[in-house]
Amino acid sequence: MPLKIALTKGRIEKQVIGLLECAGIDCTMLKNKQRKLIINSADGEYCFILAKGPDVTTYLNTGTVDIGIVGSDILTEHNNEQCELLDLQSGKCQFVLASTADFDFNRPGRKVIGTKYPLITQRYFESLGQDVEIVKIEGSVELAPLIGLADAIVDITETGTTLRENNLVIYDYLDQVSTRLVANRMSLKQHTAAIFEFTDSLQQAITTKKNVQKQMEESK
Amino acid sequence: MHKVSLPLGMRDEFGMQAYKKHQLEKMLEQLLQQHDFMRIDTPLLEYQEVFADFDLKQRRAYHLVDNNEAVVLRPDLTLPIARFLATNNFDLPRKFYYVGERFKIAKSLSGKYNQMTQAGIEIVGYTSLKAELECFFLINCLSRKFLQGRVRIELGDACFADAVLDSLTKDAALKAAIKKQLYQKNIPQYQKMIAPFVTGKQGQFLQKWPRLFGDEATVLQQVSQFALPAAAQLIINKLERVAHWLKQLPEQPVSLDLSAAPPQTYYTGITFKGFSDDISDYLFSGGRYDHLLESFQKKAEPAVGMGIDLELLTKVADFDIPKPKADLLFFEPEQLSEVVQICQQHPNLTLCLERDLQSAQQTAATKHVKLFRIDKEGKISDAT
Repeated sequence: MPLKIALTKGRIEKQVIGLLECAGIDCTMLKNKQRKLIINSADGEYCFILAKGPDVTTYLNTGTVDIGIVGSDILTEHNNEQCELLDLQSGKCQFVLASTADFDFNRPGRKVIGTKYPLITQRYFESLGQDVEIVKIEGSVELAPLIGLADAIVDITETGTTLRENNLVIYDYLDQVSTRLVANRMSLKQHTAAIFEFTDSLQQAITTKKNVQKQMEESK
Repeated sequence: MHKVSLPLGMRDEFGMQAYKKHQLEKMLEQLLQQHDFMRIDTPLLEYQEVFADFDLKQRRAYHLVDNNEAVVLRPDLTLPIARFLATNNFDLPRKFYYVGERFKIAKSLSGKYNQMTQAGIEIVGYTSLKAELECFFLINCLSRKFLQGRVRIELGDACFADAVLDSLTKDAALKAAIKKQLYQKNIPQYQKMIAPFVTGKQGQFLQKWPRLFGDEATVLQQVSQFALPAAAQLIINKLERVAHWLKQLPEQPVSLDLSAAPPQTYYTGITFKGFSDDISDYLFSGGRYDHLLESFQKKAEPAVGMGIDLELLTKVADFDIPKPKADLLFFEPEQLSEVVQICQQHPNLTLCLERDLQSAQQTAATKHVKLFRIDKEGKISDAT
């Protein structure tokens, strides 16, 4: 039986394929997937299931897959119950509190915050001892303070370019985000050796990649 | 039109699946009664306070208000039994079993059910490890009866993590934080937490700890390479002894997990789980909790309990289900007294309720059974 791996499609998928190849896993089928959503590796050891991030956690929680590769933003927001085995150190970005330049963080009264991540937002403001009204937004969160829907937003940013282009200012930095390797609790008991072998090969690939980057920087 | 949908997380059970669960429940009761367990039924509604020590993890209880007091639909069946024992002057030691519904609200639209049937046992008043061994004996019986002996028993100990961490730091908050990451197997966070200790005496063990689970011989061999604190070593010795006894059970694979979270915070000794390689959850879970009754009375009582996921067992159990296939008896309303006598003489007959003989014959043909009718002398004849 191949290990079933739910891989977040899109940006994470592209970054992880490089890492998988570096770990010696043949990704030809994954790279030539066309519109397929279930792709078996050439050696039959892995079965990749491409899914949206929040669905990866659902698959993990129901035991439909053995492993999930997903961003830590989604794991935190969905109160991950499964085993987080490795930080893949890719897809790095950061949660920020942002708003228009005239936003007054210390203004008295209950703020309205727009976000795709209500739980993370609630925890952040609770840690500051503030009660805020959260408005859940599904996409283009940057719009919320610009059109008067919210006083500020909590969102993830990689370089801050989109925020800057929309004239938004960062007021605070929250948790950092990166891609994680997560195993279903029961699968870890049932396929221990295979899951740890996969984890260790990726860990090795991360170390190799880091060393290469370091050497390149030193040679500049 | 009334609303036809069920509340979220609820479902109807019917037909073969409901019948299979009922049969399984009967067989389980038979086994437990043979071994001198007493049935105990507690109510579905309890005061919320009864579950003050119960960790619902990421689920919630159904709350109601009765006379301005908060009551809940029971999310667990062990604590009501502790409440029962504390208030009913039962002579102990004693062994109890229960089968009943428990209610826990899962994250909505997660595909999980909020009402589940749980069976279980509570062995109260015994300090000896023989109480744990009876649980293993029962798991082994059920495993061989319903799952071709595929259930693996995994042992742990609720005090092991504290026994190791007590030797590292006196900081209770730090110990709790390390335990949380270890139990959740959140390795990146766990590694950050143990970073200050990796160069110390327990450093190598701490790094290996989250992976110390699996086949008992392998785990014991791995752990023997570390010099553990005395209290932790005593627990390892106990687990080794119990694993050795366990292996005497027929067809019984045994595992150890030294980084497993106890099922609830009130556990005080050996913990165990039963699972199989092809099932997506634990079938059995339990352990020792010697102070549980202290929440309800002054005197502590030693206790060992085990929960059985009857829903999951029903889904995966492989056994012959007796299928009722009774022949039909067609009768007229004025023949009711003859019907009583005939049904006593022929217990395999069931009443056919069709209005006329022709419809009754069609029903019998559809069900592939015989049809009998009552003649003028009050005797039955084949009318198929």
